[in-house]
Amino acid sequence: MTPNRKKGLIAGIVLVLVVLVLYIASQTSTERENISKPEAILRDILAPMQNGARVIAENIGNWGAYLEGLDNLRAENEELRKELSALRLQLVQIDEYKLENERLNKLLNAVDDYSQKFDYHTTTVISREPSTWYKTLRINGGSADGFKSGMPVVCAEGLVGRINNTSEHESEVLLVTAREGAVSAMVQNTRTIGVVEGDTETANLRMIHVPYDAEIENYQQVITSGYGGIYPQGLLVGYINNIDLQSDGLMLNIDVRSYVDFYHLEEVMVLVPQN
Amino acid sequence: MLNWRRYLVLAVLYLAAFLLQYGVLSNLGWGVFCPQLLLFFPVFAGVLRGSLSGLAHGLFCGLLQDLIIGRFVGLNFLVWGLTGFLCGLFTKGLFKENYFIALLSVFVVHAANCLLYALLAGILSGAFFSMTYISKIILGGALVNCFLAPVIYVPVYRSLLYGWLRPLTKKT
Repeated sequence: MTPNRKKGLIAGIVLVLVVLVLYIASQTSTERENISKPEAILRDILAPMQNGARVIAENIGNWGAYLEGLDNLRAENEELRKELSALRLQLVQIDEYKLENERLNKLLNAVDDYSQKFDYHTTTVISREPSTWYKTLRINGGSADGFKSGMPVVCAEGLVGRINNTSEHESEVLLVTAREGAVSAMVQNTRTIGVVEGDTETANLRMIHVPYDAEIENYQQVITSGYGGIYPQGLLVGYINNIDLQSDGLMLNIDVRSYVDFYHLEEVMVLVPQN
Repeated sequence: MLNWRRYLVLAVLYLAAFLLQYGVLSNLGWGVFCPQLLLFFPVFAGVLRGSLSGLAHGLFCGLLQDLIIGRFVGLNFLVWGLTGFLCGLFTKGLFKENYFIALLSVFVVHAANCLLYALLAGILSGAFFSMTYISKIILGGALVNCFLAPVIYVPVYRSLLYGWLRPLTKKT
């Protein structure tokens, strides 16, 4: 074989390989319910190691705080913050029940057929954002624990996201701040419906598809509407931080802030539907 | 014997970098300022050992990332392999003692990786990342990776010449 033929052959093989790889990449570009075997095996092998590394990192942080004599204060502060978050969540839920009760009283015979009952499975975050391109979390627990793609994930401060895919002992959570993590939501007081999605420019949330004449104000709570089919109604998404009129003058551009500190999440709850 | 030790050291380095990256650093909440430790393998392999070595390390690191990220599987494999190869090609004949070469290579490869990945992912999915977001990732990563580059390059370079990473030389 002449050198030129050899070069041509190599170039041909490389081209075929590149096309094949691009095809595989295009097939895995969207959200996948089932991940491939090699991915699942790698994730399951690495999950305990990542867990170990996380524990070590946390311990190092705790030692530093202990040396500074702030450990007790920190724990107390953490406890109070958790309590505050839980109370805040309860308050929202009480408001929600109050409004629901009023509506149901009006409807009389109407049957609440969309309210689902869930079991709350508490689990730990084992790694955050393996890639800067996508806003995801990895949590302990996978298909072996009954976790499935699409299950909502929350924490005491509100909605975190939904399970994107699972391996046997680990699950990937797509955060609500991701550009693919849009949520059907509503303003709690006024019941104004819209869609909350991640704003890639600011890393915050924004509520879209809200008409210009919607009677909403800053600092009102935004909750899930239950219409998307993924999240049940009444999960706290955040609060309205700023309201702007879009350039076309027809819709509002609403800046929504979540109460969740996505960069420092340690424990989350997976909402598993009761059978 | 020497090559076995070299492969063992490389395997340990890969495992350490991987665990540090995804177990510790990515959990600190630094966002775009999180260092990309795996990036140093294809870049330094390209600079110090040539384009084929850069290609091999790039393909391996890319595949590892693809399997972990789980989106556009194969894209990092392709992009990192290509940039590792090109890094070796363009730094051929340059003085390896010049640490500025390592720093510049890390910056260029990181930026090229980000741009190529964003472009190809956009073409394949039809949803492009915003330029603001891409710029943030490039600049944030470049800042921290370029700071780390000389710190890592010096021991790697010395080890490759005199230490455990020194490849086996055939007796003539």
